[in-house]
Amino acid sequence: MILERIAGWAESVSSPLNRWVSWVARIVLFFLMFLTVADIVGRKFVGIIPGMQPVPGVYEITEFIMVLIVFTAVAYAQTRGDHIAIDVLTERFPKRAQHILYTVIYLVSLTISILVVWQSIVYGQYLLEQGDYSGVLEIPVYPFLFIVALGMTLYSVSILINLLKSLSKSLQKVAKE
Amino acid sequence: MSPDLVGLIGVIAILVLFLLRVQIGITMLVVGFVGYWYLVNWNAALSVVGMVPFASASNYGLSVLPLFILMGLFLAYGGLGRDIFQAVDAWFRHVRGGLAISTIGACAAFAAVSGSATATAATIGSIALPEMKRYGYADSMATATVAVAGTLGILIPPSTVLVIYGILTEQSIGQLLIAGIIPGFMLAGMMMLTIYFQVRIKPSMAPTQKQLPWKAKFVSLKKIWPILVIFLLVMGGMYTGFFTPTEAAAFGAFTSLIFAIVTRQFSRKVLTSSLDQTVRTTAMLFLILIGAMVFSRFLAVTRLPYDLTEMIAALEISRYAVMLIIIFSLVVLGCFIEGISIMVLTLPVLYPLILELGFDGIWFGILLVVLLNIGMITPPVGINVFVTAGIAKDVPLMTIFRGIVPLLITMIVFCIILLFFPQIATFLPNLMRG
Repeated sequence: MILERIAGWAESVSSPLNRWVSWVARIVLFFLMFLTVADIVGRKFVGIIPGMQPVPGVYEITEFIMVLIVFTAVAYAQTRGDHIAIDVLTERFPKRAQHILYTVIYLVSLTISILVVWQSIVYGQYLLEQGDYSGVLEIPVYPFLFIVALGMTLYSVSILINLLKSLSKSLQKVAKE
Repeated sequence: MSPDLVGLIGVIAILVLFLLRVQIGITMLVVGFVGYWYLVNWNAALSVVGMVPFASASNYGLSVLPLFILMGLFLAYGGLGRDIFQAVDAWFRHVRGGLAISTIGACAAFAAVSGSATATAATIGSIALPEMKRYGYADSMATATVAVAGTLGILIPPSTVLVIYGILTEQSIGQLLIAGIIPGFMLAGMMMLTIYFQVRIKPSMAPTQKQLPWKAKFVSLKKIWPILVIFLLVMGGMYTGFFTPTEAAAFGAFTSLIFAIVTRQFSRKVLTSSLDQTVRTTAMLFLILIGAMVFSRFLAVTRLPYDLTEMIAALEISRYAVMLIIIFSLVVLGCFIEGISIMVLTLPVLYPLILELGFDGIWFGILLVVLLNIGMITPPVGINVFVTAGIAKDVPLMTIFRGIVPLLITMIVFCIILLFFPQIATFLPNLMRG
């Protein structure tokens, strides 16, 4: 099946890519741990030990880091099958019904995740035009909306691959019968 | 259609999509989006899905999640599970049902550094189950103990579920986590007693071991004192207000890392596996949270939560009767749907009702966790039973579920006690409030 081949090829690109992108999440998470500890130490010892001071803007840095962690790992979590879904009911369906159902469901999931991508870009552009900056360090906010869009794009691609697989399987069954 | 009816249809639509294997977060995103579109308009719905994902992820309060997860994993991959089990076992092995009691104790101790029920069951289970098998414990008792005591992971702080509860209800996360301490250890004690009496009635289930010399007992503690220190520093720091929850979690993760390095249990693999697992779990939780936030915006527009609250308040039946209905529904839902999903789905409706009836928000958080934990050990979707069965591959699921019955009764009794003595949960947080 041509669909299956396309899905297989796309997966061989998207899986390693998702994993690779998730390295950003791992590194910034590790950094967040040290940053917060440095801030605690600096704040508690400010004025006691010379040179100690809290990390400026630690709250907003933390918030931006969280956006990076969540959206550079969301597609990787999809690749690894971490997102929770319940199959107690559907696994009892006949195989062909399952594949058709999953095709529809992936289509719905894909639609909403593409909407998120699109609207994140729209919102990011709005923030860019408004010139929205964080309070203390004056970091521009808009690039993080594009991170959301990027992460959800990779996630959408993974969903699309699943969609193609299910579609191919539901068509195969029809062809055989 | 009245907005209330649209809200109700929305809730039903979510349940249907859940059961058709749509991812939990995506389900709530779709229903929330469509509902918002229907009740408000297309543009407003679009701007919700544009803003909410970013706003949910960049919530400072939620940054506690990955850091607490990381702390537990550093210790788990660093081999702390084995040390904990051996230490608790050294003290309890000569008691009736000693190994099973030690398993519960080890789960409670591990729960004090881990915020996940499945991680607790998996970590302690992989060490305790082979031991119990070796000493001839009944399969049903051994596996049930691991599955049930593992749920302590999200009752005893840190706890991912309580953090999410805190964000959804705008309760203090620090107070919620502290509130879990007394109920968690009390429930652990009640589980231990249950095992003790079970073995008293039927000694063949669990052969008793010889007592260890006192010296060995104290030597075993040497390896686990850091866990006590980390727990006391993290919780004590949060309790006294020295740390925010995020700071406490970062500090806990950092000290756990140092501990692993000092005890030479650290390797690059520990670091990379911990980080890998943490970012995956974080992304998974946040996709659910994003869906939940979109969905709750939609529910707010329907006015369903407020109208339902008013309606029930107007019925003038005893608030305990209402609570019993809530408890019963949550347990039934818990049999079929995974815990965090139930929480994010029901809280927007339940929480205003709880407050209106005069119950304490923090207390309800603790009760909710125990109820969701019951769902984790009951068929057909008992996630902790599946985790346990994954370790003890030769034990049939039915055997585990049979073994769970006495411990399940203990948990139900605990819920009833908690219902009539809310102080168990509210005592410590009230002290914090001063």
